[in-house]
Amino acid sequence: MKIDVDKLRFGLDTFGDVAYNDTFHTKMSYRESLQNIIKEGQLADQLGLDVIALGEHHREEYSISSPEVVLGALASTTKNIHLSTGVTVLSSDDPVRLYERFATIDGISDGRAEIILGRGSFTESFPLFGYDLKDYNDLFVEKVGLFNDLITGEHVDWESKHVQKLVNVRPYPRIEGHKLPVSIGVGGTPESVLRTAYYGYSLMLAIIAGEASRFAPYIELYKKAAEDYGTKVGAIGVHSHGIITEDDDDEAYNIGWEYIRNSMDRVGLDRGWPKMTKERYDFEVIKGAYYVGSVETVAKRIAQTISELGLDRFDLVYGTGGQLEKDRMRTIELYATKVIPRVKEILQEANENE
Amino acid sequence: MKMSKLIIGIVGAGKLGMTLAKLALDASYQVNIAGSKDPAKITLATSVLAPEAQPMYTRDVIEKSDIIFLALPLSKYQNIDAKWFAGKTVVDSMNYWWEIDGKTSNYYYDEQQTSSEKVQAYLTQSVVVKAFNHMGYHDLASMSHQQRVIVYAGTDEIALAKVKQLIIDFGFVPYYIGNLHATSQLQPGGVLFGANEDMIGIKKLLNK
Ligand SMILES: NC(=O)c1ccc[n+]([C@@H]2O[C@H](COP(=O)([O-])OP(=O)(O)OC[C@H]3O[C@@H](n4cnc5c(N)ncnc54)[C@H](OP(=O)(O)O)[C@@H]3O)[C@@H](O)[C@H]2O)c1
Repeated sequence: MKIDVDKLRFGLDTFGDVAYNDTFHTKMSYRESLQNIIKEGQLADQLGLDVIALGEHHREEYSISSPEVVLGALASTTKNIHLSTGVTVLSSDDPVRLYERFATIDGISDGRAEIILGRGSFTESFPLFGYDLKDYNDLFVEKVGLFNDLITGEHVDWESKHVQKLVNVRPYPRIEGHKLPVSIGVGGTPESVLRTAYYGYSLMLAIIAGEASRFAPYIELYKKAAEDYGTKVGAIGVHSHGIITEDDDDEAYNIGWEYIRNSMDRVGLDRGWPKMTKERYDFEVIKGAYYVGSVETVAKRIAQTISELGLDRFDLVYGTGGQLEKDRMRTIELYATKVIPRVKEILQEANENE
Repeated sequence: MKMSKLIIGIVGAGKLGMTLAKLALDASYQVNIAGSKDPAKITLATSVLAPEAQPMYTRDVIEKSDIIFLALPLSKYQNIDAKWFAGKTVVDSMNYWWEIDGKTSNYYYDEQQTSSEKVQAYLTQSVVVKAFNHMGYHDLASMSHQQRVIVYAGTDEIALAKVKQLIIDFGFVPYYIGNLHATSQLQPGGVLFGANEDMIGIKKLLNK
């Protein structure tokens, strides 16, 4: 597919996996981990990445459960990078507070706040905040409706089963000068794709396993639904895990086999899945959802995904499973300074040859 | 040509349901599909993800099809009247998934009974075969005709033969594991849960 290279956006995402210390290979404290993520975000800004997206998780292996607080810290110490959650678990949050928090980040950062709404990979926030998982879908439907009213309207009235009743409400501070950019993170549920189109939000495909091309039908569904609803087709992005080394594919491969596998096995344990096999890992690295390898290898694979799906945005999830701090930094640095320029070059060449 | 084949009904129009529908259509079966609500709610998604599948109400899907896949959350099948299924062959593709079905797995299966045995106990007038539950939907969607095994279980010879043929027609390799009690291996924590393997891999997992 022909890609408008100049309009492409590249993001860096993390769930806040607690990193390992370079010298002792021990896990950092949460304090160190949080300070580290701030440094990583600042580096991403200095290197010109377009957006950083922080996940919300309430599990031992992650230090980010309040992404907006971390984004607030980044807001005052970065200049250009857009500051996003990825994802905000809307069903177990309060839409009004969400509006207020994002308006705050947007104010501090001079209009750089963005939000990705979704279910996320886990559901541990539900019991934690007193919600019943059974209501997941209804909660999402009602809250996304209210949230949309809040970001598009001036004064909001609301009444529905699971959400507070509001009469003529106007939360402060206001998001000024633009409408908050909203994406929905989609894992494969057709209904979520339709909902994204219904609200005219951008589509963020979380591809954590399998070939990217399998998502093509969802993109088609998104576009068709937008046409049916008469909404505008927003940006289409992909979020996937990656590890980048300068030119040693094997080194990146081995880091992933240690850390990405560990992270997946941990989740699997909870769900009764088997451990990741070497065959599966190899599949994901060679043609699946892991962008793991040297600059050239990863650049080629990202370029292929972008052109196959006709993407507007690609987000690399770094630091999966923790990893050594130096390896995380290297991934960020190479992604920004070498991989992205190379991806653009490959896509530009492909455009010219078409 | 389609007329001579069984008509496939799919209850559940989510990730798994749409994938099964697409596999069945690719194997030129006629397919009926339902979500929990009005069929109009799924026409758009169906038209793109499984074009030619017929969206209907759940009751109509069951009535108008020969073999019915249960592709809805395990916590939801008892919302459907068991009588509607009378005389039908039912393929149970459901798993217990605590994030959807709640934390208490004992309600869905225990040492005595697998979840499929409970499904069979609920559907007293139907024959239940377990199949297509152990592989992630994205693998099912992209790995047909690649020698991947689908493990199936049950006791009714005629129903088993039908399901075996479906597995082959959908592009997978059938492996029979035994009666519904044997499906404990296919449940969360069982060695075959999540298995995406060829025959050698499956036998290795089963130590055979
Ligand atoms: N996802 C996988 O990779 C996978 C693989 C193997 C097996 N499974 C099993 O397959 C089942 C479905 O999983 P999924 O991932 O496809 O879930 P999903 O994407 O959430 O879809 C569930 C579907 O079931 C429908 N449904 C709920 N209650 C119903 C009812 N009473 N009558 C008819 N339809 C009803 C829902 O319709 P509404 O939207 O209208 O509620 C929805 O279309 C689960 O038991 C799961 O464990 C899943």
